[in-house]
Amino acid sequence: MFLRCFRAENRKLHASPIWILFFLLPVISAVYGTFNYLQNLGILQDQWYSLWTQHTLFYALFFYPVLVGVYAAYLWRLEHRGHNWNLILAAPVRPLALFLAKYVVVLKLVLLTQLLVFGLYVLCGKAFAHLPGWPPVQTLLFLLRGLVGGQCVIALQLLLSMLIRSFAVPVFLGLAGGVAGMLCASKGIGLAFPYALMQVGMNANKSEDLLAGQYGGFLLASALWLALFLALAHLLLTRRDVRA
Amino acid sequence: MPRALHAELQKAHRRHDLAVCLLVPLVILVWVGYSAPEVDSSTVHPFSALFYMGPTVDAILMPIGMAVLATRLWDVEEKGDFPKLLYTLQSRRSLFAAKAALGFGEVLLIAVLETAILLALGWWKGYADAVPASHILYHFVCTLAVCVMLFASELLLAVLLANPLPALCVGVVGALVGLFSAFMPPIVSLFVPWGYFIPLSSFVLASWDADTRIAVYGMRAFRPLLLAWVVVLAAAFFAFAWRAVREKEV
Repeated sequence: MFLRCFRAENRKLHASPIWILFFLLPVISAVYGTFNYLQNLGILQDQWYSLWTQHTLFYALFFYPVLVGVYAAYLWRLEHRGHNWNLILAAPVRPLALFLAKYVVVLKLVLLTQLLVFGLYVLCGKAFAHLPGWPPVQTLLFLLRGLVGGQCVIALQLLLSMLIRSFAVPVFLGLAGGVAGMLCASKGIGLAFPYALMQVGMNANKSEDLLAGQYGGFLLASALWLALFLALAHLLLTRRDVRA
Repeated sequence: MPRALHAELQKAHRRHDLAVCLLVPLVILVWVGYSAPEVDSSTVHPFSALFYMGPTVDAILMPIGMAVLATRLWDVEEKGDFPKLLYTLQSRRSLFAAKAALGFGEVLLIAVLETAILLALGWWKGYADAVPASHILYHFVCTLAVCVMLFASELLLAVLLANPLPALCVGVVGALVGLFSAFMPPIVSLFVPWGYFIPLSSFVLASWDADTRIAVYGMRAFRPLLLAWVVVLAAAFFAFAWRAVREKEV
């Protein structure tokens, strides 16, 4: 059942306009990041680490949660049209399987986005910044941490898009979450807020590791937030009546 | 027109548009309130610093915020396939005029609240430096003009493409490009309408000393030509949106 739901959700991505955003945001971030790095070589002296901060600073703070918001809202948009809520909840599929299928598809999209970000980072580092050697393995780890921190935001954005029958509002809430996450992270309470987890995971605004010695707490917080949002989704899908 | 506007207000009430309009200034309040310098900090002219911060925050939030307002205004009709019904029940002119008037009202509310928040934060923090009323008024007019221009461009996209996704994508990409343009050579920002909040602003960071960490903020001359260009752009986008509604096949 889950696989059928997963295939159905995947099909929605074929020829979808979200691919434009998927390519544009990382490319613009990379172009600006490389330009800024090359303009400030006197200050930015940590080579690959400095290039990483320039590539991912604004992306991780504001546009990564927005991108997740767009992916999530797009997958729920069809369900909010016509009588589709009646259809999907009457289908012989567990409601949580439906939610999980959307979750896995967004997770796949986010993973691809992160790989594109990393590919552009390596390309710009070698081709334009002419940095020696290859990027430190730690930057790849930052990327994976961004994904681990981002997975609870995926669940939260899917939950918001499921509850709010508007395409645009959950996306703006993603941006608001990014702002709030930035403030939480700067206060040192990044692990207590889901949107901050993806930012501290990406380590976008510091050369030193923001998560040094806190990996256990980071993984636990990510897992707890994810479990909470999945449980909430399950509760709402099974207890709440359809408003089609 | 009054009946059409009344109908739009009822739809807006049902969509909880007021909550969305309040959400944008709320994010500004939290963000600027958190980042506002303290009186005894190393910031010279902190009130000007607050008004300097406003346009940067606007450049990130408003392109997406305006896309949200504009797409919701038109998407409510597309979702239920209502345009063909509405076009037979009322004139296209009254439908578009009512939507444009409601949208302008929502944007006006956001711009008023944004300026009020900056003033209230300054007074609450007890900043002693005075900001001339003309600069406050100019800040408000610029914020309103750029927001209306962005709103009109997003409304045009929503009407043309009958789908909120492209309009919202343009808003997201615009916010990113607008923000980046602020850190590029000044000439670049003139070619990025989403970030016009920043080149239009009359508040500047006059100097910053990296050793003492003293930041001095100040004011500069208004840019009436750029403001006029924004108004022309807004009018053009509204005209194109009206044309799209008028010529839309149902």
